[in-house]
Amino acid sequence: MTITAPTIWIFFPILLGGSLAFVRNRKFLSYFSATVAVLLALMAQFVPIDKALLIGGISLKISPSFAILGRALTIASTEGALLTLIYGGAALWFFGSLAIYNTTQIAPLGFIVIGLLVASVAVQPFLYAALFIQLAILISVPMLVSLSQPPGKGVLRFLIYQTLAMPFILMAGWLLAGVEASPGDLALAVQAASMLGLGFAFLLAIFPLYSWIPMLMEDSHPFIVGFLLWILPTMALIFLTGFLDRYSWLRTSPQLAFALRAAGLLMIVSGGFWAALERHLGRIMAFGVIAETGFSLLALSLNTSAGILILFLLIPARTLTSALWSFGLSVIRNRVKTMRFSDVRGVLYDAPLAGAAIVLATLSTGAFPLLAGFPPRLALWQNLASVSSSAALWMGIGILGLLMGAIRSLAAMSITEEFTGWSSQESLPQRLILGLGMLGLFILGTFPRSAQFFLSDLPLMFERLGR
Amino acid sequence: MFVFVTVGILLFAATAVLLLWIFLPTHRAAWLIAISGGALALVSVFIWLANPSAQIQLPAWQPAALFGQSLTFTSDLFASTFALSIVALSLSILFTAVVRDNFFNPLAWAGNLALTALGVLAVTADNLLTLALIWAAFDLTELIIQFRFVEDPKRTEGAITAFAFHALGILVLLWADAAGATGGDSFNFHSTTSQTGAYLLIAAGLRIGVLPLHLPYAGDSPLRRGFGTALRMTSAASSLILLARIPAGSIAAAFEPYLLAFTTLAAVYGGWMWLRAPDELTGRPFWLIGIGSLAVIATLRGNLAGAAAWSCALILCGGVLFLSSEPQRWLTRGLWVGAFGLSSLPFSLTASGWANTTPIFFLLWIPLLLAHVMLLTGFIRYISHTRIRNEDQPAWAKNVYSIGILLLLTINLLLGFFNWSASFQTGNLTASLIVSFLTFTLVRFTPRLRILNPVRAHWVRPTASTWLDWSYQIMQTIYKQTSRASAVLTTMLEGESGIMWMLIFVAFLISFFAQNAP
Amino acid sequence: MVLLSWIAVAIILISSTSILIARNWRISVAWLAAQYLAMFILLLSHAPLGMALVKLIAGWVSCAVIGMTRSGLPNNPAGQGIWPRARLFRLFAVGAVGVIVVGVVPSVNHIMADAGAAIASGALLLAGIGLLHLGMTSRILRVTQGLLTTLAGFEILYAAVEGSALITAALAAITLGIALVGAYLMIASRSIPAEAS
Repeated sequence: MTITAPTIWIFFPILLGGSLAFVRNRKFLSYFSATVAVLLALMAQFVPIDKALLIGGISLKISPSFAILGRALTIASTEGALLTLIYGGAALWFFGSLAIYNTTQIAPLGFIVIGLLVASVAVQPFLYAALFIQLAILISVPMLVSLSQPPGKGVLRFLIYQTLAMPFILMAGWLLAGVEASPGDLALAVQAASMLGLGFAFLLAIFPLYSWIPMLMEDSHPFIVGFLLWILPTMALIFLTGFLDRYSWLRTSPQLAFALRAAGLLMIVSGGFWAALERHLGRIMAFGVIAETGFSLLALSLNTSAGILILFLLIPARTLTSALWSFGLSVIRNRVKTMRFSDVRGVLYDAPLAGAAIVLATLSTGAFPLLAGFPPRLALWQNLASVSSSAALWMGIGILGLLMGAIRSLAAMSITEEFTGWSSQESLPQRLILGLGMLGLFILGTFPRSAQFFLSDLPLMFERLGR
Repeated sequence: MFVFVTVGILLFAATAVLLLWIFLPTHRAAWLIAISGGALALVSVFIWLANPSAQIQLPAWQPAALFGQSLTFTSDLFASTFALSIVALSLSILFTAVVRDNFFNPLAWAGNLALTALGVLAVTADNLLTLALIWAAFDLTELIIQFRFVEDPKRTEGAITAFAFHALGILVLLWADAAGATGGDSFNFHSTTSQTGAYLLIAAGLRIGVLPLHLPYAGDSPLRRGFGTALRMTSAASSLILLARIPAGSIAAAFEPYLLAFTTLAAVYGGWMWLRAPDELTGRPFWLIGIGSLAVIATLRGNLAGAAAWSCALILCGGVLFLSSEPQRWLTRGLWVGAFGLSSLPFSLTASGWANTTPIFFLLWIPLLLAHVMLLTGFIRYISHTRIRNEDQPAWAKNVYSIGILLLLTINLLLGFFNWSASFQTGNLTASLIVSFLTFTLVRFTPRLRILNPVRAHWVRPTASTWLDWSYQIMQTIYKQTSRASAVLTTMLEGESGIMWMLIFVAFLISFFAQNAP
Repeated sequence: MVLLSWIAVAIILISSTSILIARNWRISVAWLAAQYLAMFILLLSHAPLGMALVKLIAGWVSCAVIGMTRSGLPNNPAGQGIWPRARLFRLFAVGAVGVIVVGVVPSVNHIMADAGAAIASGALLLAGIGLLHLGMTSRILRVTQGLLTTLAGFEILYAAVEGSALITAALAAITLGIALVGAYLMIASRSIPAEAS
């Protein structure tokens, strides 16, 4: 019996998501979706692709390709680790929705979004990924806005910016093919690189095209925004790395390394700057996420195998941090009018674990030792310093801003005129999830080896960069 | 390996006390467990004193291509002396707890032991990565403890400010690590370059409040004698160890004069405020700043043993003073041992404090020795002030209390004579004699000179730190103005015409990078 | 065919400008449909009829979706009456886009494998005025129209160089998806804000 990998990791989740859209039982949705996501992650990790398996006398083979409209969707065995990471991460959100109200849409639509994004990794030629990413973005909109809530401007801005990415990337892909055919055409190469740069600037929300992120964090449910701000940039970064891996002239271009470094630093510094000045807990997370993408771009700018290792080391940290941060914000959001500093005074005493989770997640983004974000940032900082000490200094300034954001969040949640004592109002599942999440942050931060189990194979996805 | 034995004992005792408190809240054995843990830990430190320089290296972080360093601990003489000081302080706090009003406080005992364990790990850290991790653990623990014990949210501001400065210290430490990596080598204490030495000094200075001068705990803390002392002293020790790890000559000459000037200023300020404080607990932040500054000065002069000596004096002399609350005449007299330890006289704990190493500008000696004089005078004044007798205490409590005080005094004396590079030293005899003479004079004149008399408690902060407040206000104004400017920018980018602005920005950035690309 | 192409370009210019300055949503949706017809004409010069038809149908269905959704919603007197303001400014902005397009058409035509000046002009006009539209409004219907206009411009250009069925299908799905998302957001915008639970 042969089954194709895209059927398992693309079509099945999409169909499942479509079916689950009609289910209204929050608990069932949460448990079932999380279990399925974990199973898909485990299969990706342990079931080999393109190798026959004998299970109880039945020979089972997962073939990597699926033909569609003259093109192919191919999931190679080297991509198993990425699938594990994606579905494992998604399970965190699906399980988390158990304890957060108004998030029933996350599992059904989340499966569809993930299916489409996995298709973006699998599609051959890989340039078509932009189309699948765009489809995923369109599916994301109903996640962000329910029919019972008027949409904010952030959703529109999100839709516009992300949609504008696709034409540039597709056009860049076509131009890049031209560059391959005539490598000496410098003008064409510059045009292609510019197109590509613009496309990814929109897709990855590179400065100054990220205004939608804080707007979205203010308007929409932080838990759902957190999910999207994890999955979309992660897959976009994989896509970008694919470009670099595919085109050697692009990979070796000093201009590209400079542009990536400049963009990364701009994002870290501007993210840190606004995080330090912001007076809204949700928007601080937005700027943290922006800085997070900046760190990834900086890792890519290193243009070495170390850079790729750092890029992949950043992913699990980002996954856990985003999940915990958005979960903590959602718990607090249910207790306060808005997440402005003036409205969250003293909330730490009512929701201590949620407050602690927010602070720890912010600190983790700001490279605070012991927390998940620390090991990759330390490696990045050291590698960057050996390339350019001024760039490392700017990175430090950005980190300082992020740390200030964490400390201001803590101050906003804890300093109050009235103190009635500590009384945790969080539900048991909320406490459990928050506790486990914080523990995870410490484990990843103290023992980065714990993530190596599936991270070690990830660079193999890229034929040239990762080997 | 002995490092882990000590830490293990302390953590085991802390966990046992905590579990007992959770499951049998009224069980009285908690204190005995805590005391036993502390005593065993102290014995274990004595054991690893006999085996200095043993290094323990944990497995390296993965992927190995990214992380050159692994967690490494050392039990060299500096580390063991620091560890001895903080474990002795911890045990002393537990002994003296018996005379406190709120004696039965297992949570505080567990916290004390846990902090001491982290303190031991911090002082034995052998590279920056290890130190950064331990500092972070320490800061988070301290923050949680502050939030747990300070049940007045208005007071949490101090804890958050302290945490902020500590985090900044960690960031500077990591920057030193990154700057060290510029040279291509995996950076550790032994390979400190002139580029990084100054950063390390600033990192330590930030954490103890010296560079730049700041007072995170200026307000009166409700964590007074017992646990408050553990918090402040162990926290300071975990930072001060860095001063003893910066090799001589590793601070760039360009930085040195400025660092010296700022630190001298901090020392004089700390000394003056300490002298004028109404009581030793109110003056505690200034004690930390004052002695901490002297330790920094020692490092700047390349006198690592001196830096370690000042640091140990900060813990032991300060500890014994802050823990003393009972009016027992012979014990009060015994506190003069602490004054001797602080005097820099031959064979005292701080004898090597002013040892002749790198010469400094001769006029700088005046404020430095003056700061020392003020700190010593303040110390003597506080040991001689009247203490109120608590008549309700049983005899055993008084005896146990005495053990705690004597323990610190004994360690103070022992370190002056035995074991490490700063012991059995005559030091800078001229400086120590001048300090002793001036101190004697000042002690005599204090009652007659109004300016030298303590100010009222509620005056300490507002009157004395006017210029500090002024600098804070300037920073606040800058922050507010930047905040306003950013709000304007945010409104512009997120407003109706945001997309148009974005397109203009993109065009501008593209043209900028097109011109500046290599 | 060349003449027909330039007529299509003229329709594009008129329709996209009209969408930008129209007060009545019915008129703007009708112009959007006309825009897709012009796009179909331009596509015929490079793409097979089937592919061009797919794009035309997808575009028209999109117009129908947003038109039907909008018709089911009450008129917003405040928005409908006043918007759009500053017609002259908008016309001036369209003029500016036109000038830029005239300036860049030769080089774009060269890059896009000599697709033709008409195709390049039509595509760039649509993309430029679409972007202008997006920059000037935050109303859901208008944003949807702006996005569809911009994408239509891109599709004309891209079809000249890439004829994949998968791409055509995916772009058609994206066009429909944008219309559906626009419709969804329009319906959601009618709802009364729920209390944060």
